[in-house]
Amino acid sequence: MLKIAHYAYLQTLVAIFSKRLLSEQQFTSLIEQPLDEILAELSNNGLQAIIKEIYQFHLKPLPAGNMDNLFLTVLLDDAQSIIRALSGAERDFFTYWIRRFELQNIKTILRGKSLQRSKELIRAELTPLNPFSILPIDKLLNADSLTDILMQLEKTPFASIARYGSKNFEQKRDVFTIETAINHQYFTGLNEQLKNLSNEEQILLQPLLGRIIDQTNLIWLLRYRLSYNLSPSHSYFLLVSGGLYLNSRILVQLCQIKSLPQIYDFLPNEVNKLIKGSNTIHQIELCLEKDTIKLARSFIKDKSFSLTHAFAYLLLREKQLSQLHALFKGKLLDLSDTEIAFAVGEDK
Amino acid sequence: MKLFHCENMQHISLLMRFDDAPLVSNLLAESGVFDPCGIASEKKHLPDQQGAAYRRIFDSALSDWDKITDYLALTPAATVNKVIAINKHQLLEIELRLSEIWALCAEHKENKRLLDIQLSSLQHLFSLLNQFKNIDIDLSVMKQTFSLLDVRLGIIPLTYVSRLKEALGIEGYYLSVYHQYGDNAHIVIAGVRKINEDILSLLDSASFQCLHIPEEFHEHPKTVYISLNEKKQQLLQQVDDLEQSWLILKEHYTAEIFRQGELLTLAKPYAILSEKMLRNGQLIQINGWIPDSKISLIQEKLEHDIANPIVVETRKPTPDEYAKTPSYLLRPQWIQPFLKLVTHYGTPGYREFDPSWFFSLSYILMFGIMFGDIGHGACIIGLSLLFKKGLKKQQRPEYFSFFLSIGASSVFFGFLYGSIFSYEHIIPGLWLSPMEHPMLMLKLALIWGASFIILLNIISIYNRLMSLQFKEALFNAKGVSGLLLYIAILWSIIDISQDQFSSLNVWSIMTPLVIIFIYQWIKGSGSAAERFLVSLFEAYDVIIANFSNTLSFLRVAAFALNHSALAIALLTLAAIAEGAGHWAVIIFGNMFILVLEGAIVAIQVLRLEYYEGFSRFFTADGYLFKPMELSPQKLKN
Repeated sequence: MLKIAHYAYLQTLVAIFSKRLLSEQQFTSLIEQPLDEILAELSNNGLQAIIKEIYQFHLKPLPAGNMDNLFLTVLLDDAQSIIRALSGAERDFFTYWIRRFELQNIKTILRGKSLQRSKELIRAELTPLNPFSILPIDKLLNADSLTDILMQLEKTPFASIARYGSKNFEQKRDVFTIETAINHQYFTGLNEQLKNLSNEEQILLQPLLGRIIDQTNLIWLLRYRLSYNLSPSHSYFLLVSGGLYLNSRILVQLCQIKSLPQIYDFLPNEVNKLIKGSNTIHQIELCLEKDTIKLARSFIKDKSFSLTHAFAYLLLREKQLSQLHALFKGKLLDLSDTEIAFAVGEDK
Repeated sequence: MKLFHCENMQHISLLMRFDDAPLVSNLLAESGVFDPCGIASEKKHLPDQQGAAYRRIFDSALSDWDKITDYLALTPAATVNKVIAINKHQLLEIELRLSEIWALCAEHKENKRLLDIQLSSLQHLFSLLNQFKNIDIDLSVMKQTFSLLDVRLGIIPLTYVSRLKEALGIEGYYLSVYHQYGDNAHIVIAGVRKINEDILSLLDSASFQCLHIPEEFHEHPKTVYISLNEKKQQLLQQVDDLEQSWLILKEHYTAEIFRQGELLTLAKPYAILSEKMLRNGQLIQINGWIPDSKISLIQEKLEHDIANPIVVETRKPTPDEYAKTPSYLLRPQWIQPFLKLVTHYGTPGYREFDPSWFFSLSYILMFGIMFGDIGHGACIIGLSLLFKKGLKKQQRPEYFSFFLSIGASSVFFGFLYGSIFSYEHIIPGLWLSPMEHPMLMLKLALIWGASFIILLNIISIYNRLMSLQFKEALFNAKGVSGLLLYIAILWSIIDISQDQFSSLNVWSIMTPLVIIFIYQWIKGSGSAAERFLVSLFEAYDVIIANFSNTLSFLRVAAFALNHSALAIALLTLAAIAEGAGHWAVIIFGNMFILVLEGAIVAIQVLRLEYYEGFSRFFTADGYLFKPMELSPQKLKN
């Protein structure tokens, strides 16, 4: 009873929001429809601002960056509503999850500064994250050096990320080192946030969050080993803990691989069957993502409500918004349905 | 002593033989009433080159003496025993001797500095050793390079420890944490040495900072600790020895330094005057300012102590010299703290009205009106009596009279209001309770403000007349016109309130206003349009400023009401509490009122005095009379 009372508002909110999610069949059928019909069908899907913008441009492609920002705003609006319904550690967990978009901005500034690009150019590439933005953008853009940026970040909630990034930068002085440190610190922080939740919520969130971490670890590992040729030990060090199927022992073994097919020898069956037949890192990523989405959908359908419902909704909404983004863009550019299906990841 | 003016000053000019100049300088300084001033150079006069050399030697000797007294922590005497002249030769001997003593002190100081550095680096080694205390091997081993074994010491963030341990495991390395400090872990890693750099890139990613073992650490940590401790004991012994030698140095040279200080004090007046005097052959001329009443004192002193004749000429300052004439403010001791507040704003010019009496009395009066309470006033008096000795020790005895007078004023108005420690019904008020007659209080505050402003306008006119600015005195906004305008406005307001406003009121306002406007127009520069605008705004500003300045005095009543309101709030809170709580609220509440409100009232009164008062009449462009003195204590000044 207490839990029902605690989450009453959140449950209602997520239930209403969930109506905006399209089923796989609905989405597949959208790909074959003309753009004006798609827009009419999605008019009550929280996408009014985007649809209005598309009509203002007379169904022609929008200027670069405009549509990205519009879709992100829709997601942030949903996230804000959900976060408002929470308090304490739960609110902190969701806020931390959304702040990963801000990490993207940090990386954009770091890259821009390292390439000595102008402030205006860097600013144009930043993602507006109001009301979640906490970065002192102007100060960061006015910083004289990467070290200065990291010092500015030390005054923000990204202090620990900046501190470790800064230490790594002092050692190697390249942006890749900072970025890997930032990624690593972010997921370490996410695990810390998870530990602050109640045991019950931790257990319920673990399958979903564990899959996300597994996916992240496996993709990073493949890139580090096969694309960047890092050593097994170095690759392993850059991975994060908290995975569902890929524990430390398996990750150590996986780090020894020298080619992509070798991973099938070390992966547990649960993961092996998911990625069977994949020949590229991108395909593996899509397969793992599909599995996570499938699980998130099952959570949404589950009648007993928990915090995981809200988390699953945000995951699904983010995924679907990115697919709709690709769909709209494809339709505006007059791409074929096959090309659009490939772009939205519905070709398999 | 003049109540509202500086003491009358005389310009004094002394013409003497060159040889007598040092002794005359000392006699002038001893008198404590001579403030030297420069002489406009004329062709027939030459600067005293010998005096310049004297000054250079004096400066060098003073610098050494200053450093020695600082280093040996000596407090010189206040006066000199006998006034004699110090010639250049004697001054050179003083400089030489002081430089010898300072060389000894400097050597001692340098030894102390080196010891401090050694102690500080030893302390650093101790803190480094603390990091290695859990390593149970000879530290020299850690410094060796082995062909097959790779051993490294370093620091990494604590959060990286477990993952790095696992990652190093892949490379066949072992990691152990031997010390933790804050968010960092001190680790030792060991493994089979490899030729590739995989380990290095991994350690870089883990923010591994290599630790270098100092040269001193060539044994087991415990043995190193013992040897460092022995070294520390030796250094501490040396510090003790040095402390002893400092005491011996002090004891040995104190008397001599005092004697040299006295001689330097006797050389100082001539060194100062040498910059300002002029020489013509064997004659020296010294000019300065001296209070009117002290001329005979100087003359008698010079006649008595100087064998050769000295030509002494005195005269009143000419109007051209008023701006350069120092202001000698001879005021009683109890006014000194108020005088400090006045001079903090600025020093009155020589012919300017000195507001220190007016300021002191109005400050005390307004403080009492705004903070009237027998208990609180008595507390201020009690505290000032309690800290009287402390204030004297800190050479701030004058502040005693400040607190005593404002405390007494608070007590006086406390009796008038019938208020004691926020209780308003224990003793009957001799006059009224502010809270019961708020409108009367506000009305009286406005009357007080208006009277205050009228009085200040009169002082402003007086100041302009004294400085011979007759047009400003008559036509300026702060002159007669401004005063008439202010009175006319007040008169009109009274007439309006009594429905008697007439054309006479309009004329009484417009006439001075137009005079001010025309005067500004004539005085102004620039194009006609600019002058018109400036004059218009000046006239507008006069009305607004007068209006706002008068209203500003409402705060006098407002704070009196505020004091009563705080008392009511305090008693209401106390009534809610019972027993000890009741008295705790009363005591802490009264302390709160005493400290916080007392400070606010003190600042508000000062604000009224400065901005509503001084800004109206006080040009404050004078400078204080600073006579030369013969005091070793003031040698550094």
